[in-house]
Amino acid sequence: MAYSDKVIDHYENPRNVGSLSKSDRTVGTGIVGAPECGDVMKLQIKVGDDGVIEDAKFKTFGCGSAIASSSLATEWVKGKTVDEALEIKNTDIVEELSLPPVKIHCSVLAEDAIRAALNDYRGKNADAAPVEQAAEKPGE
Amino acid sequence: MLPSFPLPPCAGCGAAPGSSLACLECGTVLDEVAGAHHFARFGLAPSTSVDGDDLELRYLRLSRALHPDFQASATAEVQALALRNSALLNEARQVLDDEQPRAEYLLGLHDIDALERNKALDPGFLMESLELSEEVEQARADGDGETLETIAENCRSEIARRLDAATIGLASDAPDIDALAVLLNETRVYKRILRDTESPHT
Repeated sequence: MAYSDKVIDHYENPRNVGSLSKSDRTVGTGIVGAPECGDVMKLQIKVGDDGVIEDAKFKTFGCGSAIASSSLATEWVKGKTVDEALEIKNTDIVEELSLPPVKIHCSVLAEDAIRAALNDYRGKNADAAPVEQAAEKPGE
Repeated sequence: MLPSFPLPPCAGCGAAPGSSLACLECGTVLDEVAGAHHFARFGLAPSTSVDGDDLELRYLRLSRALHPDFQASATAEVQALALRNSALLNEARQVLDDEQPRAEYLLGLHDIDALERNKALDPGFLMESLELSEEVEQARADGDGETLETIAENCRSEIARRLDAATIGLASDAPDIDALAVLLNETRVYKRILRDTESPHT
């Protein structure tokens, strides 16, 4: 059998499929693609006031391993801080899903998607935070 | 354009062998010269445009020369070589017989890392392909064959446009390798979307 039971489980019952509002400042969106299989993956995170990722959603078009990798990634990032989520490595995904060598790029794609989403979130908030402070100060 | 791979004279008859795998003049199975590529295996110059009928004819002649039945009285060493060359011939045919792998292979002859180096696709392109994939998903859920066919047609024309551009680019004297790699990588995404219009995820 080409796919492990865990891959099949995530493929048949994907966790956290869906979308979050891209324009929401607390949402980070990462869209990445892997030409090997023509996969396209969107992964979104929503970060709470306490800096903890409270929700994550994904949409992946591609092979079963790519779907399973992104499904697992959304499960793993939830409850983690942005910094903790950055520590998730594709090798962790490979291990958990027992991905064969030809599907390792699917796990790389999931790691890239997490990073892209976290970077998007940080970019939004690095820009926005100083502006807010500057706007509030004159009124103090 | 890349130059033809220089084939040494046949070790058996001294003629130009017409393939790196076997001499088409005398049938000698050849120990392939290092660096020979798929085009040389068919005695062709590297090119994006390959005549399918011509390729098939060359394939049949070479398969025959390498066939075990014609090597029955050969030494074990030559038989083993013929077997190895048959495998190379089949691999070469698979690559050269289809426009996309042929263009990718040709690009690889220019620069083996080009496709890998240009894997990170443009965010705008990824966004569009994601939206297109969502439309496919919706149309499949709705059983909307008409929309699926429209999207499939769109994909086919995007694929053709990129492959045409890659063909022209690869034939030029100084191809823009990275730009061509992007075109071919994007083509793969459209091919996946096209497959999704026809069947579920594989």
